[in-house]
Amino acid sequence: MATTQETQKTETPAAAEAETATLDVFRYIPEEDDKPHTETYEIETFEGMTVLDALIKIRDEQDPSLTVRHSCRMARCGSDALYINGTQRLACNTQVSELKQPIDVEPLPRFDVIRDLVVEMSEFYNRMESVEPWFQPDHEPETGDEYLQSPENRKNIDTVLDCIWCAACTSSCSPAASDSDFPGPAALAKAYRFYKDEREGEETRRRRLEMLENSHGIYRCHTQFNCTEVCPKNISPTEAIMEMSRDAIKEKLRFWR
Amino acid sequence: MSTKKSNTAGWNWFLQRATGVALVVLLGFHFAVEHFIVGAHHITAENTVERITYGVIEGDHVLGQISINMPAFLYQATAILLLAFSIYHGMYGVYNILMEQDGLKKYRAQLKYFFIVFSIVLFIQGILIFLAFFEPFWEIYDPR
Amino acid sequence: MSKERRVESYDRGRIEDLGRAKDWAIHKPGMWAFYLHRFTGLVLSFYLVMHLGVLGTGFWLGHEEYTVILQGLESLYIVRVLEIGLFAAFVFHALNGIRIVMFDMTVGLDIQEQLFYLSIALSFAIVLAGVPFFLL
Repeated sequence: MATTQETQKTETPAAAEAETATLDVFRYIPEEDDKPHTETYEIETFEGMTVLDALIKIRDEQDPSLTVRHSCRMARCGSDALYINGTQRLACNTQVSELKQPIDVEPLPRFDVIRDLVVEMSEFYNRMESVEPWFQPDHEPETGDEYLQSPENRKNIDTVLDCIWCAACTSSCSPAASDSDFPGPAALAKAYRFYKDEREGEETRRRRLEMLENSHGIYRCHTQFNCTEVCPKNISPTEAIMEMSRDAIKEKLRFWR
Repeated sequence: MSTKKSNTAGWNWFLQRATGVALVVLLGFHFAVEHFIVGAHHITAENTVERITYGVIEGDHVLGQISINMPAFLYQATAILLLAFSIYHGMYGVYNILMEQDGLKKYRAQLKYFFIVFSIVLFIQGILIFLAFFEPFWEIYDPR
Repeated sequence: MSKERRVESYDRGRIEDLGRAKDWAIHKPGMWAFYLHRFTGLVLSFYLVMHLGVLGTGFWLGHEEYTVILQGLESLYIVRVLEIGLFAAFVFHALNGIRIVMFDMTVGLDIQEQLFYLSIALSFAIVLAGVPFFLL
C-alpha cells in the first residue's frame, strides 16, 4: 500500500498535496437574519469527498450553526437534496472534485426555507398524498391471503419504485412551481407505480386514471425533462406521465369504436 | 389536486394535439400560398377574391409565374379550418398558461368565460373577412 | 409555494419559480425547448389576433382600403423582417410540436435532446430557404 501511495505522489505531486475547495453556502437563520445571505467557506478536501462531507466538515470545524438535513449519507434516505451549482442533486451523491469552484450550495429552489439549507417539505408531502400512494385493491386476493404480483408486472415499476422522495424533481419542474394544484413529477411517478400495479384491479386503475386526468393533473406536464435530468435514482417521471396520458386518451377514443 | 371529475380536460388536451398537427399542414399551406407563391406585398383585394371565391392561386414571385386552380370548396375549407383550428389552438394555449399560474387562481372562472367569448369574437371576425372576399356575398353586401 | 405552513419559513419569492439569470445558462435542452415553444406560441397567438384585426379592414372598410393598408404595411422594411421572425416562430413551433406529439405517443422519449437539436437545425434550414420569399 505504502509503495503505491508513494508512486502516486511522485507521479502527480500537485494532486497529493492537500487540495482546498471553496463553497458559497446559502445562509438564513430566522432568529438572526432578515434576509438570506451567502457565506464563503474554504476547506481542505480529501479524495472521494462529497458535498455533504464538505458541509459536515464546515459545520464541525468552522461554523457549528450551519444547518443541513442529512441522514444515511448514501443516497438512500433522500433528505439532502440541494441546489448545487445550479442543479438539484443529492449532496451525498455529488463529488466535490467533479464540480466547478466556487461550489454554489443552496436549498432546493421553489421551496420555502426554514433555516440555511433546510426547506419546508410539507407542501411536497401534500402533493405526494394527493395521488393516493397506497395499495387499494378492488377485489379479494385470488389465491390465499396475499396479493401476488407477477414478475412481468413487477418489471414495469422497477425504476419508479426507487424513488426516495427527495423532491429534486418537483423542485426542478416549472409547472409544479407555478401551479400548486399540479402534483408534480415525483407524485405522478408514484401514481404511475400504483397505476401499473395490476393487483389493484381494473376498477381501481380506471379510478386512478380519472383522478389523475383532471385539469391540473397529468396534462400539465410540458415535457421539460428537468425531472428526468435531476433524478438521482435515474427515474424518468416524464416517461411515466406520458404513458399515463397516452393511456387516458386511448381510453377516451375507445368510446367511438 | 381535486378528485372532481372533469373529463373535458382530456378532450381539450387531445384537441390541442389534433389541431396542432392539422395546423402544421394548414398553416404551412397558408404560408406557401400567401408568402411563397403570391408574395405578401403582391396581395390585393382582387387576388384575394380570386383565391377565396374561385380557388385560383396566381402569383409571380421568387418562384416565377405560378397559377394553380384548386376546387373552390377545397380552398374555402382550408381557410375556414385554418381559422377555427388556429383560434382554438392559440387561445387554448394562452388560456392554459394563465390557468397554471397560482396568482390567477381566483380568476379561473372569469378567464374561462373571457377566452370563450374572445374566441367566438375572433371566429366571427374571421368569418366576416372570409365573406368580404366571397363574391356572391360581397355583391349583395358591399356598402358602396 | 404554499400558504399553509407548519413552521415559520422564508419564501424566496417568485424569482425562484422563474429561474435566475445565472441558472438560465445551464438549462438543459428539454427546458430550452419548452421556453422556445412557449415563447413562439405566444408570438403566434398574438399575431393571430393582430392578423384578424388588420384583415378585418377588408370587411369593415372595403376592398380598396384593404389593398391600401396591406400594401402600405408591406412597403415597410421592418414588417418584412418581422414576417421572417413570424415564419421562424411557426416553423420551430410546428417542428417542436411534432416532437411533443411524439412524446405523447411515448415515442422518442430517450432521444429527446437529439430531437430538439434536429428541430432547431431543420428550423434554421427552412427559415434560411424562406428568407428570399420575404425580402425580395
